[in-house]
Amino acid sequence: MRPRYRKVIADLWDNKARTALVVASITIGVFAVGMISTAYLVLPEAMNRGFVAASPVNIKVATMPFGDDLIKSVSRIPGVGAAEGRQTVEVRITKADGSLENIELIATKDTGMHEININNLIEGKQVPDDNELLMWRDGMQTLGFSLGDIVTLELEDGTIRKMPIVGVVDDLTHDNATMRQPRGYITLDTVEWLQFEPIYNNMWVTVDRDTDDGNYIASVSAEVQSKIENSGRPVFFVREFTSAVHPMASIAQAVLGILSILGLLIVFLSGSLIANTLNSLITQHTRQIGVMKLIGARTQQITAIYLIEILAFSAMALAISIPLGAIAGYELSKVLSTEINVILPDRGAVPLMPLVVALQVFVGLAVPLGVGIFPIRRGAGITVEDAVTGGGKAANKESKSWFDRTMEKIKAFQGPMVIALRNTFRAKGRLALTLFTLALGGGIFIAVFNVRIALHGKVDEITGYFAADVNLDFDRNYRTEEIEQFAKQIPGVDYIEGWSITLGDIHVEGQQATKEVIMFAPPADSRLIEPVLIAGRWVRPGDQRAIALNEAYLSVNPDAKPGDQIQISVNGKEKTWTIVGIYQFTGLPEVFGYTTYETLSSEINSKFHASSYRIATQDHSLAFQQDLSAQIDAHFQKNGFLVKEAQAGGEFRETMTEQMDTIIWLLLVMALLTAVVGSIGLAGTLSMNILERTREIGVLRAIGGYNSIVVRLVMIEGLIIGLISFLLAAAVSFPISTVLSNVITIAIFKSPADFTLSPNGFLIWSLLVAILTTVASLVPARNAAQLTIREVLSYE
Amino acid sequence: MKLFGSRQPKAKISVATAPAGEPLIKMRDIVKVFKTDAGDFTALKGISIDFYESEFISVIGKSGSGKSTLVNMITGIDRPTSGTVAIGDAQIDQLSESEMARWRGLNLGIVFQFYQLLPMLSLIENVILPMQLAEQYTPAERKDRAMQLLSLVGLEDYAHKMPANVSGGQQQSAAIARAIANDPPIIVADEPTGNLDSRSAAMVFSLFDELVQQGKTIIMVTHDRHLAAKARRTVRIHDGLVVDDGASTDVVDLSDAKPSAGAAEAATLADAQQEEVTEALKHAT
Ligand SMILES: Nc1ncnc2c1ncn2[C@@H]1O[C@H](COP(=O)(O)OP(=O)(O)OP(=O)(O)O)[C@@H](O)[C@H]1O
Ligand SMILES: [Mg+2]
Repeated sequence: MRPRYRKVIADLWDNKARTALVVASITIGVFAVGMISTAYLVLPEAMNRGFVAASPVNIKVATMPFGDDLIKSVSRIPGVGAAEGRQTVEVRITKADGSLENIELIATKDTGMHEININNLIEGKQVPDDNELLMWRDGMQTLGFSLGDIVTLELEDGTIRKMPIVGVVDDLTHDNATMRQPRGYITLDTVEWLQFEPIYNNMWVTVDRDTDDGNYIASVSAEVQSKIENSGRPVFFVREFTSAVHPMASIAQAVLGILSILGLLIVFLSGSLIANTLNSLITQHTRQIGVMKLIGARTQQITAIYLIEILAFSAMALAISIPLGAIAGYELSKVLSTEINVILPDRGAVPLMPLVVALQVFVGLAVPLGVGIFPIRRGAGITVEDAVTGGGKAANKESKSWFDRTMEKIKAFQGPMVIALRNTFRAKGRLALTLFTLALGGGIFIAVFNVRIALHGKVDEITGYFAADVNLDFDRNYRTEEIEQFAKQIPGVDYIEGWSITLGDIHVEGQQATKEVIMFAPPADSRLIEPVLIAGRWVRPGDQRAIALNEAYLSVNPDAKPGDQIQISVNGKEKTWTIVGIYQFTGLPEVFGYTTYETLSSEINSKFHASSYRIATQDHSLAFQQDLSAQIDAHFQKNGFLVKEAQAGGEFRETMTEQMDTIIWLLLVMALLTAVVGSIGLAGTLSMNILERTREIGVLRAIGGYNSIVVRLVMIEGLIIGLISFLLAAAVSFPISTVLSNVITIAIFKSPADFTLSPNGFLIWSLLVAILTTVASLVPARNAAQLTIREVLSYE
Repeated sequence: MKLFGSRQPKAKISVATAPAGEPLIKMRDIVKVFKTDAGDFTALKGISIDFYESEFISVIGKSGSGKSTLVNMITGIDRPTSGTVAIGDAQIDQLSESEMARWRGLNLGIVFQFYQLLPMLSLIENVILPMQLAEQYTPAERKDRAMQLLSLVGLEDYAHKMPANVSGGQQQSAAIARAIANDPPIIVADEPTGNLDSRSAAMVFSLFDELVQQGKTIIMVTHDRHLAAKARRTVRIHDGLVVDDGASTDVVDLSDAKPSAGAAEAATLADAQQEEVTEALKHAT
């Protein structure tokens, strides 16, 4: 072997700790790149493949009962790809834990083999026979069932029916909001068995091309509607969907986007670590380089030797991080995929992706070479004289900045510990890089906790619009007074409000089509809603046909503002309403309007009556809510009321929060990665510091420095760095929190987050930093204490 | 900052003394074997030697003869492979590294060829440090004493300078002030003048001489025959053995050496500076 390669190997081998440090620094960055770019390639691809393959519906029309004839004539309309009739019925199902929940059962011709929103079979049978049930995967979890269970259904008249679950399927066309709602598929005969009419009342249609063109879909939809109307059936409502992109695609993009930014940050941080270590390596080799030059080595040759050394570091790092990145990328996609309703191919089917590997190789080589070239050129360019005299007299005469002078004056550290304080600030460049890494890692870490609170706050805000502690719904209207009376008999109920809820149609000026509005009408003095208003005000007692609309209305009429008069058809009567305010909801496209109970109940001729109630309980915990829901349900049923459902409000919240938490976990993983980079940086910095001060530690021993002094000196240095980095991290966590929460809430809810602060992040990070700095300095401290003076002076 | 400040030493460390006529440092059958890639190398081949209170000993010999190895046995920087070193009532070869460090703090001042001041501390802080480490004197006394020691070595005006900002001779003077900070009975110096110009070397030598007058025992390794000749007793090492031990004039044969100009000058200068230093030291100790 040529001597120069032997030198490379000797360098790598002799200082294993440093080799490990550089390799780990490169590995982390390349690993992050691999993980995230794998997810970037795997996830959206699987998402869209699954979505398009499922042939998602483009037009849904609700109308009067119809049969195969109408389906046939609709399917002959030019532009229609496929048309299917559907019947959706709702019954009460007994959950595994004994409580009751509503389930939607869908029947269609050839249920299980239908051509629109094609099911993806998870387990069991694809097609149910009569009196058998095919369940949605997520509903299975919510209800607590597994394949083969016999479920108990309660019909409107109290009849009990039992059916086996024969298959579990997944509908890949759905977004999160509808996903967890329990749904199942049955045959038309089963519909009859459940005492509903075995006919269709919904027409589902796909278009034959341009599934992402809203206008095209609308034009086909108009044809379909007129065909239905021509058959003598009124069109109750129509919804149109583009289907070229998965409904969750924007959220997935946002999450992946954030992960990419964090990934870039990690690469950046790992680059600064590499720079640190290589700098110290070159400094230590100065004399060696001088000797090499003395015996005739040219600058170019020396540069080459160190570049080869970096390539060796990179090669080791790539060997570790390419497979690890691929595995982690797949697992990351897996976690995300269950949240956004995507089926991933098996891992075996996801081999190393050339693009990802190429990217990793590029980053793994470019970053170390890019940051390494500066110290190498500095080192290789040194003159023999400078190298042998240790950089010359000039380099030794450290010029004192105000900072150094301040350091010399600090009296808080007395005795030998002043050494620790001054040592901390000796290698300023290295300290700055370390602090930067730790502060950024910590800032992200802390921010993730703040983001979590912000997201939960958002969920609260949103669920607050429609959910109280318990939502109680009946199959028909009851006098609110009567319901109130019965509700108050149940201990734990604080108060109850009867809400009027109905559908209306807004006539948008200059547009022919109407926009459906779901109208909620809590009592004017309702205490349950805390609206977030974008413009205007909320509805008030005494308002006459006033309405507050959510921000979705702005996409129907961008010029809408408080004070505008609009025409809304409610209960078949078109009247003029006044917009009093626009409030912030989730970013869903549906328009939700709030008016007062007093207004709406008289519009729909049901004064003093309501079928939907909101109950506030004395304790707001989910367990209490659930317990009370069951009691309320039982109490009203016992007294002869037709209870449709009593549901704990916390359950809505829970479902949404769980989804948020997945994102939080992902962020936390990234935050931990940055924290790992930070700790490697800290450990590296401390051990490099020690390495460079071995001689001084020996001197300290020679003049009476015993073990614990040496250990304490090193530990305190670590703790000072930890403390400063913590303060910096706390400071940068504020802007990071704001940006991160906003990006995420805008992606999910189409509205910015309120800035929220959680002490948790700060506490956990301070603990982590304390542990980290202790551990990271303990090792070098112990090594330092074990140095004997003779070893030390042999460095001379 | 009590947390980091004073911690009582575990065992009380006594300052080494010897009864009249008894040796202060007793070395018996010292053998030192270094394990090297090329095989074992015996640097000291069974040396037995005694040093007494207020002796000024110079250790001479060719490069590689084992001088540093020998004095490292006394400072505890290194341990003998076999044999014993007793200083006062302490058995040096038995102490752990940390105990050794504490013991050294009170008993031994070491002066190195390359000064070895801590670069992040000013000269006065360097001198105060051993007192802090050994928990000697009150903080106020430490400061006064450090200042006195610095003026003794002529550095009162440089007390607050950083080592990097003063000359080599000044650094070595500060290092000597540091070595005697805790008033140790023994000072070991391995080529203390090896890196100094003749003037500074003479200064260092005068300081040593005066310290001996004060009752300190000084063991100095040197290549400089002229300086060696001025010590009271000279030990010549050859190939790991003591080949000559006696009054300096007997051991150091100046005639066969071509004295360097610097060394001769230093020797003369040393005489001249003797007076001043004597005066100064009287005040400091
Ligand atoms: N740690 C060690 N490992 C191996 N051999 C050593 C070690 N320290 C010293 N030696 C060898 O022991 C012998 C004596 O070394 P020592 O340093 O005591 O010599 P010296 O008389 O002080 O020489 P110099 O005048 O050059 O300082 C030398 O041959 C040296 O190479
Ligand atoms: Mg020597």
